[in-house]
Amino acid sequence: MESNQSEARYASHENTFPKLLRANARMRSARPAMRHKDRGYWRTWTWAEVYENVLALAHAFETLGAGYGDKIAIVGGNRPLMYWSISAAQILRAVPVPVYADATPEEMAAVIDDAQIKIAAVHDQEQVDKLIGAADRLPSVKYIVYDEERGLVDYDHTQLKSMKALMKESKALFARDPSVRARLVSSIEAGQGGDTSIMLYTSGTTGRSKGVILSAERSVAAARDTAAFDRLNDRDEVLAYLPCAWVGDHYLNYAQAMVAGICMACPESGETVQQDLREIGPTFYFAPPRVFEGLLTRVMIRMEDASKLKQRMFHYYLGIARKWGEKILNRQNVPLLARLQYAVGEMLVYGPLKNVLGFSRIRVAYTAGEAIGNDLFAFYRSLGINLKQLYGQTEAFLYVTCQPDGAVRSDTVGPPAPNVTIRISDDGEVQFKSPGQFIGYYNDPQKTAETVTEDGFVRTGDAGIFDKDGQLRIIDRAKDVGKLKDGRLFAPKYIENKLKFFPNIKEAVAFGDGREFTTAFINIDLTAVGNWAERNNIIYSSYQELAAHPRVYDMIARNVAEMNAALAAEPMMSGGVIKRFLILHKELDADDGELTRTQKVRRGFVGERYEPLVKALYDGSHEADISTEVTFEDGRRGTISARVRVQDMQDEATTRPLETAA
Amino acid sequence: MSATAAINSADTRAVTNEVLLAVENVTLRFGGVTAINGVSFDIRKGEIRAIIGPNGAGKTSMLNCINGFYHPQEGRITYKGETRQRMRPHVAASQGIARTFQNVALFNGMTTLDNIMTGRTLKMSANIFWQMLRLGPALADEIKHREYCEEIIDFLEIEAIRKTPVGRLPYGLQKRVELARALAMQPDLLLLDEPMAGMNLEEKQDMCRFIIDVNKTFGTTIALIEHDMGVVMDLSDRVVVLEYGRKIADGTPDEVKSDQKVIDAYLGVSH
Repeated sequence: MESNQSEARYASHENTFPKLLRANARMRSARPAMRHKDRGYWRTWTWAEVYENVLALAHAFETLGAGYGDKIAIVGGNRPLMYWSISAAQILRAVPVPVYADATPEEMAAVIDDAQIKIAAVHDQEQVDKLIGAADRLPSVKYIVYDEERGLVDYDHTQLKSMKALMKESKALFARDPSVRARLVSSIEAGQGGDTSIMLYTSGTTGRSKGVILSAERSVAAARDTAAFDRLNDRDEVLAYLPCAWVGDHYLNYAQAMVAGICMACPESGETVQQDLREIGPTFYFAPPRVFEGLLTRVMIRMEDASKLKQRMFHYYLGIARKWGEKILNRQNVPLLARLQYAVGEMLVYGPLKNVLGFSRIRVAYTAGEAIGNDLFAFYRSLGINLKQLYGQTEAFLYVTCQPDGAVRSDTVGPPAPNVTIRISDDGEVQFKSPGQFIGYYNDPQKTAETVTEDGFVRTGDAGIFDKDGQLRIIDRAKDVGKLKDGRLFAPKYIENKLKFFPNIKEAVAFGDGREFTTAFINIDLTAVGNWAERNNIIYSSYQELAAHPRVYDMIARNVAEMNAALAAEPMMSGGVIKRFLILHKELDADDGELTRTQKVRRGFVGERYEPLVKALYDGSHEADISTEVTFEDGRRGTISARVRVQDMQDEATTRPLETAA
Repeated sequence: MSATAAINSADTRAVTNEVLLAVENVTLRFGGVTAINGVSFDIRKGEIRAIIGPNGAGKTSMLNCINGFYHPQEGRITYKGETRQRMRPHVAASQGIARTFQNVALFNGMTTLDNIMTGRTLKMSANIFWQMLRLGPALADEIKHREYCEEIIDFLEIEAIRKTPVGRLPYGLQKRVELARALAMQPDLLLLDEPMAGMNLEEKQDMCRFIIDVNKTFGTTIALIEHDMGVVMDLSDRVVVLEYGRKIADGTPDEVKSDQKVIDAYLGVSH
């Protein structure tokens, strides 16, 4: 079996995921394919078992009427049955449509209506309730099938079915009548490379979310390229913890696992990911920059409470890692003594730290989605974690660029990924052609035509430049890049990212297009600033109160001043120097529509919603009243009113010494 | 998974007319103070029964009588058809009465899981010799009980705090752990003393859902003391109202709500 495996590591004639699944069930029948922590322990399914379960589920969907081209919604967390539903739909040549599980009923209904979903495979009562609540608006939905039964016993089960029960029936039928199973297996063979493999809805950073159609052969081809690029194989493990409706999860965990035979682990629940990570110890890991940032903040805060001896040891060896760690990771020449010191550090500090974070076994880690601060990036790399950057899009089925081992930098996203062609248009937009490139937007030929150029390149909407060494650098959304009144360049995201690199600042929104100078809204980071407040005996009862505290303002002003100094040094970016700013009285929240579900700021919406505050930033006033409607977690609505102070930045402030919360 | 089967088999709750516990003319005195004065009521199998009343009405004393912590001077308590004069708490526990406390009473230094495991103590069968070695039958026993505890952890959605010492948990979660420990006893009758005291709205909503789910899925009969009237009226099948140790009303939430004596007791009455 072993020799078989290496020969067919990236078996090439399979052009759909069901075919890959079947091949894995043959070649790696006894290798683990999936794990899930349930009732306190990890259950493991081999590829052969996963294959049988998926066949049974496919049969279940078929009996509910699913067939070629029908849309099946997948709504839930990272659970085996959710991923199996995707495979099962693909076997029937139906189209799986993952939906964000934390979507509001309205958002969910919009997607389900747009895609004309026939069957919804959902996790639990919460999702069932959302769908039933909107049932009269969603006539296309014929059945809802669920994973977890709790609370659903009393529901009317004419259109509601338990997946587990259905699978059990199907398996019993397979045993009685093997021809039923054989027919399903032959339908795998009938699958075509041109079939729609999945439809992923974009997060809607720039308006209504659109269904991106991805074909089977292109998806498989793209995943093969990158799996080979990072030499992924069936000894690798991943923990699937990101929303399964997001292209990253589908690509990195589902698609790459299928082509390379990786074992995918599902966490026990959303809150246990950190512990599960430790227990699984993935070898391939992806997290957006904010996750790495949150981990670092937590580590630093916990170190504050450690004994003096440990603190000194920690900081001493962190210094050594900073000096030599990246060089060692990049296989550069490093003196023997430094290597020895680093080895001791690995034993005393880095190793235990990586173990706590669940990073002990990482071979390849990626981050993407936002710019990552150099200090943050260097911190993880200096510990010996092979953290790299990639740049991707749903329309590309993820990868557009990625950094190869040994050529990694924090301010670029790497050269084009394998078999990807990139060009920069005359107006500075990044455009690409890629193996995984999408077919089009669902039911929206006009939008598709707007996005794909006549010669077949996809417009990313991002402004970027190539550095001398061929690595791509993303500046901002192309349409967001504006100009100040005096004509200087205004790239809001560039400024916001710089601000967000300060641990005290969680979110920033910059304004300035067509104005005389640049201003910003700031959200403080409650963990970092709260901890600082505790240590400085600053008493506060709410986010609002802490945000308005004069000493917090002082601290943020120093951060802004430091960034201003850095920007002033960059000739292209001097327009970004912030003249005035304010700290918002509430955290920006996806439930209020201020962030997308992937936590990106909707700048335009925020600008309109807080219109009086923007006005105050420019009319010279020092205070402004604001009252906003908010949605609480339980769905109730209320209003928050506040008087927000506007802070002026002095030019000489840029030279003041720095003090940070950490 | 026998435990799963146990949970899934008891599907829909059945409120019956069968009386699980009857309290007849119970009087409890502490020296000269009469805490409970001739109170009678019953708890039917499968129902959620609320005991309400102003402060000092004798609600907690009533629960303490039911689970054998206090011994009333007069009256009879009949549980599962068996009338008793004196009962000790551990006997009550072994007969299927579990409770939670008004002020959380957990082992602070122990993890959530260990706290819940203590709820299984009475069901452990291996002798002390094996227990000390943690081998053979004791280990088999522990695995079996751990499985049951994991079902409860899943049920109450406290996976993330399984290994956290309860002393470090916020109050709302401690209350939930306490409920988990009581459930670990697989009780027939669950006594909840102010399960939502000191909780915020969201925690209260969660707790309500758990109480209803416990009643539905496990078929557990529940008697609860609660001050939040909205909660009481929504949750319970029947309500008994105490004031100064006497029963002043007994009936469905609607009946009780419109009872003049209850209104007087809660809103005060002009003399």
